[in-house]
Amino acid sequence: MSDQTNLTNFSGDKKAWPVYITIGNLPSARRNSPGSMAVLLLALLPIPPKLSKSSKADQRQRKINADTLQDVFELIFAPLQDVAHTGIAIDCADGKVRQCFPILSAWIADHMENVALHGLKTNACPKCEVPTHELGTNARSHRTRDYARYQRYKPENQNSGSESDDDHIMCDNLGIGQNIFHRLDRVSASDLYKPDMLHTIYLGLFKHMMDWIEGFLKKHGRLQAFDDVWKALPPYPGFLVPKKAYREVTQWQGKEMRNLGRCILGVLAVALRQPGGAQVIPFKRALGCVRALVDFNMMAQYRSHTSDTIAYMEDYLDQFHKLKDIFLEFRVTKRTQDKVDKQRKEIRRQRALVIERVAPSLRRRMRDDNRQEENDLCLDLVRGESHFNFIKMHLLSHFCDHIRQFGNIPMYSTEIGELAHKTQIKDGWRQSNKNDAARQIVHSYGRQHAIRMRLLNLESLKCRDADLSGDVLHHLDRTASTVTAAAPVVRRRVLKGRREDVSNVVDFSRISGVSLEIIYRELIRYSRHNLPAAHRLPEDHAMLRSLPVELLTQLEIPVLAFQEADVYEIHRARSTGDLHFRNQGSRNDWVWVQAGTEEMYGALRGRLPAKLVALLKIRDYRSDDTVRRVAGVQMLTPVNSGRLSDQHGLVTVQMREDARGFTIVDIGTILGLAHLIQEEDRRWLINSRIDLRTFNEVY
Amino acid sequence: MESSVSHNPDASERQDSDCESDPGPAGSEPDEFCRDIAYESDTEVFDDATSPSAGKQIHYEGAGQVIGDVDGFEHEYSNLCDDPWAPFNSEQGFKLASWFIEGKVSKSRINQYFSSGLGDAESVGYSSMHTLENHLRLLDPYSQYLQWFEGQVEDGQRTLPFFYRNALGCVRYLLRQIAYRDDLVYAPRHEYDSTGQRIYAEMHTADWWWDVQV
Repeated sequence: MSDQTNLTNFSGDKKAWPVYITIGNLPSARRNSPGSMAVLLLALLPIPPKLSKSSKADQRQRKINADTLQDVFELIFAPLQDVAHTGIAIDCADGKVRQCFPILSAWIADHMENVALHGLKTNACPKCEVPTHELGTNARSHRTRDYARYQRYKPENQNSGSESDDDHIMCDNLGIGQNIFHRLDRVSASDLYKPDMLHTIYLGLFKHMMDWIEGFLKKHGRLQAFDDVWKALPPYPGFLVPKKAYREVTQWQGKEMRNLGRCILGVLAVALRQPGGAQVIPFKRALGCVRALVDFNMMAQYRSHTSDTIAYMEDYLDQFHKLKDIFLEFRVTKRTQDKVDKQRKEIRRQRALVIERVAPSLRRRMRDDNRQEENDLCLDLVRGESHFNFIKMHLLSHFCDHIRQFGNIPMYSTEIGELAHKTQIKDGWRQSNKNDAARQIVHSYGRQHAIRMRLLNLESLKCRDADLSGDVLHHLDRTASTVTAAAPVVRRRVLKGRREDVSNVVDFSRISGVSLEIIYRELIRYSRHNLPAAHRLPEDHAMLRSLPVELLTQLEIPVLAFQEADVYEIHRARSTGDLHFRNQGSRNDWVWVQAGTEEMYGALRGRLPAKLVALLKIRDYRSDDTVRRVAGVQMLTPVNSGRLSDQHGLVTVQMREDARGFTIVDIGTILGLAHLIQEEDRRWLINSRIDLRTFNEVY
Repeated sequence: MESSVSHNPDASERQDSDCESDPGPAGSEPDEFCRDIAYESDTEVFDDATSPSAGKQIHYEGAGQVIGDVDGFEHEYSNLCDDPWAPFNSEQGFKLASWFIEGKVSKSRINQYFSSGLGDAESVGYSSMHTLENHLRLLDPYSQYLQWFEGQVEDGQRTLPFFYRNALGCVRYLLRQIAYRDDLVYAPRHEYDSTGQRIYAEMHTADWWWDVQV
């Protein structure tokens, strides 16, 4: 048995400090889904007032706060403590009574809350005793924190001040107050910390990485190129197309950072194309570093791991640490910058003295040399002073072990708390009269909860085919969508959006600009390759012309979600021809077409990206009135036979001059949407980091 | 799927379904889990209750063992089937209540609804926010597990109220819900993929759960 609790602060003028509880017995997909109601509000705590850093009185107040917090949590955990040793008989939903040991096994919070609750200083790891100066390394062998021991040593430290070296390291980084969990029986406080994708990667390392990349691009004069690519990204399901240039975005939130992780490698690869002589090596290293971090992030999102995938993650992390020095010079702090300025001034002063004694003719050459030397010296200083020792860098090193111990990473993300805030706290706050709001918040949600829980229970009876009357079932069918997001199982490709102005191939040819000759040729080719001899399309042009044709604008493709057996995502591929789509220009999406066998086209493994030009239904009245559903596409061909580039690890595709501009394929061979980033005219990079499925399939 | 038909009023639409060669999900999914689950029943291992210190895992003797049946479970189950809307006297009553609550209708508006004669209090079984709340209290048979308690904190300057629930009650509540019946996991498992590799996915497939239970 295990519990999982979730705590987050939500800001705004009024603050609340909710603590949630749920059980680990429910699989994460169920537990964390919005309609499951499995995350219960456990407590609503007051926010301790903000205190200044230095003053003595505040220091005392801080101690009082810490003690109060300790008392409150002890009160809340008391019921669990009582049964930690003996266990307790609990009625379970299957009608059995089980012996249970409800123990706290996870605490999901952002880093600041974790350190506060664990009684640590800000840049201490809640899990292990890593010293501050090693945060930026990839060492994974530090001793696990033993909070019970800290407690025993602490009083002595304060009195005597004499301690052995070992203890000194141990007690380093301890803050005021104690770990509120250390007194919990049978709870291992150092195991409560859970890696958090949102704050460690999206809002942590990705954010830092973007600062470095921006500095890097500026240094190499590629900032404009980067912005241009950034603005021109094509759409993809679940991907928010950036509307502004990268530099114009002022606020980055978790959602945007996740988006960024999906496209940054491709965008950067295009922005850094065709490096000049001296740039080849730094560009390659920068791309390698970004690639390693992005890949680590992709893998961390897997919901199911094997030792192989965990080994990959470890490799990516090693790779990232090996290459990160390329960005070291962009980790400049204010203090370092001051030092650099001072050094620069000093050098110049000395130079000025020297230069005065040199003949004017030599001065210019000397100045150039000096400038070069000066820059090098400053860079050395920057490199020497800067470091990667910040806490989020270190937290990554716990990800892999954590998967072996506690399962996949996404289920522990703090994001799951956000939804609970919305329904359980914020809505209640809005409905309250803002006076003694906490009391109203905790009660208002109870009503909703009772209703939804009953509906869920009835729903589950329905699945078991219990004896429910017909109108109950009817009602459930209608309300089901509002309570649980039960996705309907759609496995067929669906064509939508018929255009009124096309009724035969001649109309189509006029609208699409594809010549009739080519359409006939392609239709016949398609028919010969794909259809059984008895049901082929007529090969006579006049006959072909007489077949009724519909032109459609949208194809819905059910795509099996990654690592799922029965969950489908719907990809909507649009092909609006020259028509506008939602007033934003025409859309002719990139799609994957199954073009060959697994062994073909290198990393693409038999699939090729293509531009969707047209979606057609052709009714063959001669052959039982069968409707052929076909798509007209422009196929791209892989460059370098589909091998991954050793620069950025992406595949480049091109539209060859001599290639057929229009091919007809069965819509069954269209596998889903593809995400391509234009590199230059008629050349694209395949962005395989756009989602986990593509990431897994293109390698 | 229906909407594609609506775009196309032609009656022979149905025939176009067989002409695509949809690659089946089974072949194209490399990660398709072979649901080869080695399910092992709980066995007792030694109980180490010496010190709860970090780095040392504790075994929980008998955790997850079935020790009996829930009293009146069948009865409760059939009650829910026979009278799904209880304590509301009709589906109508439940639906209206659900509409009020989900729509975040304020207390005064609900009272107004009944006082102005818009609603038929007879058929829904309640006639004001007050009586509706009484119904809602009875709706959840385990609401006593989720009772709120109030505490006070003194931080030296102010006294502030805070609210909390019984943590054990919350656990009992969640474990008791029929809705989760088919999903609940009571013991850890090892899962393997088609190549025989151990899978680390949910909490119950990872090492920690094995360390503390079994």
